[in-house]
Amino acid sequence: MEYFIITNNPTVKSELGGEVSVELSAGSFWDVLLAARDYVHRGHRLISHPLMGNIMPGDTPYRSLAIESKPHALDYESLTMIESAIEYVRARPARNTETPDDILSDYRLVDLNLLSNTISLINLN
Amino acid sequence: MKLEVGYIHVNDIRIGTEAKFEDGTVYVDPKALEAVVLEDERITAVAFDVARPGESVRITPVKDVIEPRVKVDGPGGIFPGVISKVGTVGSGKTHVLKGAAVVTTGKIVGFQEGVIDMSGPGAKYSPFSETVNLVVMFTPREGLKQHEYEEAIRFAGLKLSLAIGEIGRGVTPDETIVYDAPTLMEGAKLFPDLPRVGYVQMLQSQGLLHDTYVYGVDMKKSLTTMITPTELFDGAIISGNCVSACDKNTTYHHLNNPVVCDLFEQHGKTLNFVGIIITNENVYLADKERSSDWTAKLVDFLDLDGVIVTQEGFGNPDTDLIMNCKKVEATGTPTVIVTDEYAGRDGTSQSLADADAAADAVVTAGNANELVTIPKLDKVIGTMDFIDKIAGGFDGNLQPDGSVLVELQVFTGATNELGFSKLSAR
Repeated sequence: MEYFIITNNPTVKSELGGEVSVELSAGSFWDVLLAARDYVHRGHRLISHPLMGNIMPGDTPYRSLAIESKPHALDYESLTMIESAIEYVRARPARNTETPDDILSDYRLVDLNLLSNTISLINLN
Repeated sequence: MKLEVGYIHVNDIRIGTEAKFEDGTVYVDPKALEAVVLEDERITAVAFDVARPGESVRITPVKDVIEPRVKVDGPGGIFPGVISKVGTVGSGKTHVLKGAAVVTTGKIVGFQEGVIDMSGPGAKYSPFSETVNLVVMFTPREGLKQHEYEEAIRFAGLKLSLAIGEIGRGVTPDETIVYDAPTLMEGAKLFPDLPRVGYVQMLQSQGLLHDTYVYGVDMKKSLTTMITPTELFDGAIISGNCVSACDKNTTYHHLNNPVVCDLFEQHGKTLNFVGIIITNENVYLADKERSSDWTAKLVDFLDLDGVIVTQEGFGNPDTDLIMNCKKVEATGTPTVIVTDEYAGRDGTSQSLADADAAADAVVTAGNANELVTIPKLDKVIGTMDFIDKIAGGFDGNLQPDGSVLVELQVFTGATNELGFSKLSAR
């Protein structure tokens, strides 16, 4: 199964861009979810869950997810999942206006690690 | 499997010169414990402190909490496949230093959890305000990567717990409970008229600071499977989870799983506690489908009459929770799900990221977004530097007088989804 990653985490692009197709967004967590929803509307299925990680959307600014490359008919499960995720995030605004660089780096690291683990499991199947 | 658990009541821990147990007090030898920790060259220094119930002490950030136990008789050792050699545990005899806990601290990432207040209004939100805690502060080797540091602290905490648990080996327990988990057929013959109840325990399994290990196996690499309840009491499941203090299961929680304890109490009386199905919470959607399919298949195969499902975490695990619930219900087996909620500070937001009409019997462990004020305490073990950055903290929450506004999410164990807390709507 062919898939690609959409993310706003630049570390994902730099660390994984050589082995998997990465679409890097310059936008926010929110923008990545909306871009994912656009893909779902065009018939692409979600491969990973949009709410990866046990870190509140209002805390981490980074979001990465895997999407199937080839579109099919609209997948209602993907649609429900991305819409639920968008509502979940909408109800949980950011708690911090400014996050220090070292903590941003930590958020990027954990996002990258969780995504890498997910990719390893995707590639196993 | 039959496991006799001897509980040795601990009133205090003292840092001394000789490891021993005397009159309810555990004496630890810091030099010996230091040697255990520094076997791992990823850690260059370690310090110990004791935090007691009622003291004006705050511990933050907290990595894991572990209860000292020792295998006194029977096969295997505590934390099999991790510290002890791999070998099936859950039978024979185990001693527990009840009332003591090892609390590991150390900044791995700036936003990690959690807070334990030993007194004041914050104390009621963590069960570890009621244990005597040997707090361990680690210094990592310069330049050590976060995933290596996490692993080093994880192993160190477990090794320390084993070393301290060893002190209880020759002590006569104050209280002994025999946990008898019959085989499938034994149970069916013994209790033919009792409802067959199973427990589905969902384990966090997403990656760095989000992992759980079963006999040393990373749960994200496991298919859904079964485990005998008594194996949990010997540390078959350990925590590598450290991002959201309120609803993660520390290793202490795994050793003292209240769902398992309560089911054992009712076993043979109001129900037949058939066994435990453990399953994971992977991010890959196909894994979620596979794991929940397998859970439902095992429930059906075991001919269960009812199932309790507990989850760990929030967000995408809510999807696993609902999948497990729906699919088990579809086999004709009713479920009760146990979860906490992220319902916003006013409690009006939808609590979970997923829902289904089949999830009509829910036990809530509380609202992790509830806002409370905790006062300045006399002593901090650790640092308050991250109190606005840890999960449940926010911009400007540290007040000029030293008090802090926090959401319940900051407290280790506050809305624990095994129900190991005292939060109630009464």
